[in-house]
Amino acid sequence: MSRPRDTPRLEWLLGVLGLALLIAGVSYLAYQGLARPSKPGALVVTVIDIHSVGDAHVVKFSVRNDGSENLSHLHLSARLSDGDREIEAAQAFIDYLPARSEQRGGVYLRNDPRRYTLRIDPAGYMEP
Amino acid sequence: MSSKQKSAPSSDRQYAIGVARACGGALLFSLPILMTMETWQLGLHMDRLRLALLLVLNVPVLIGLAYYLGFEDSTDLLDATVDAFVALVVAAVLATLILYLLGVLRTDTGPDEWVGTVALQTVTGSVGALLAQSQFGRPSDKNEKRRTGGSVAEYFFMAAGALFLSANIAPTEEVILIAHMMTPWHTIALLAASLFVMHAFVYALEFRGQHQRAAGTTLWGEFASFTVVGYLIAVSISAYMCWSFGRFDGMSFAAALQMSFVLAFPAAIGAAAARLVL
Repeated sequence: MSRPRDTPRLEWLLGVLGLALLIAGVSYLAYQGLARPSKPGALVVTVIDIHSVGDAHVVKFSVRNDGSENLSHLHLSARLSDGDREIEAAQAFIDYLPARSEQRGGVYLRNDPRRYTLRIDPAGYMEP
Repeated sequence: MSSKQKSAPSSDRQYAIGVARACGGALLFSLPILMTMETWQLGLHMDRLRLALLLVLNVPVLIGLAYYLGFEDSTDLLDATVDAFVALVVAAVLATLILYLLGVLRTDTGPDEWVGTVALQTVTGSVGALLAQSQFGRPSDKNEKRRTGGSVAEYFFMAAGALFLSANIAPTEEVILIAHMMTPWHTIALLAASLFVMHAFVYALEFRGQHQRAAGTTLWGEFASFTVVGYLIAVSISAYMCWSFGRFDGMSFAAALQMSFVLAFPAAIGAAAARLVL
């Protein structure tokens, strides 16, 4: 029973660090579980850039989830229009988009999106 | 071998070697789960409170394992508690590094995902860190500890073994799929097979650490007191794991039970193996 005095300092240091990590982790998770209001995915889609690849155009976008629910199988639709006339449509899927996270993706379009109006909107998702 | 001959200046160095050994062990035992897709997804979308509860309940398991096995030749409960928390650090740091190295976690990953994913991996990693000690570590006074531990220690080891194996397998989609594919007859056969394999592992296959029936006990007595109880522990832990991972959400009682029996098969073997090797 006289062991504790022999315990290496490194052991104490790591042990206390472990306890601190556990408390921090559990508190964070408990806070998220208890205090976080459940707010469905609030999505913000931002076009990052447009590249010409062969005879197609790739629109790279990022989508950020400002809600507090995690989304899976997120389906996004891109529409290219000229006034009321729809020129082209394309789709993209994001496997998982956790709360307060961002994912990137791209859509392929045959018409140059720089010449028309481009909209990328979330269409649907599944609860994981 | 006693640890008391260690001189004070070298004890930090000795300890650092022990920690490095624990890292190696945690790596070996947790790579299969670190490289399983479902665990990343569960880490970010499983119920936060259930994950927190899993982390908290893991601590007494770690303390128990550290008490009986030990990073170093820990002997008293305080040392074991410190070692348990060290195992948590080892597992958390390792999981963070490996998941970052594999590109699962990135700098633009949200904090929820970082905390959730690493926390889930820490459960199996920390148990792995302690298990590795018993397999690769220097011989210690664990045998003596086992004998004084009695049947409580046996049950504890079975629970730890069941926990480790079921935590490794429960996150996979296959558990649900297998449960759907099985008929009630399959389930009964699997239950019987689990019990048979469990008993054979410990008493018949002549593995290192095989148990001898205690004098004055019958085969059926031993079967009832250890194998059947061990199996019930394995089923309970399997059910807890499935519930933690949200596998029971929206399921009927029959489906939940089916899933528990499916997961209890590996858990039972983990429980039996733990009685041998720990």
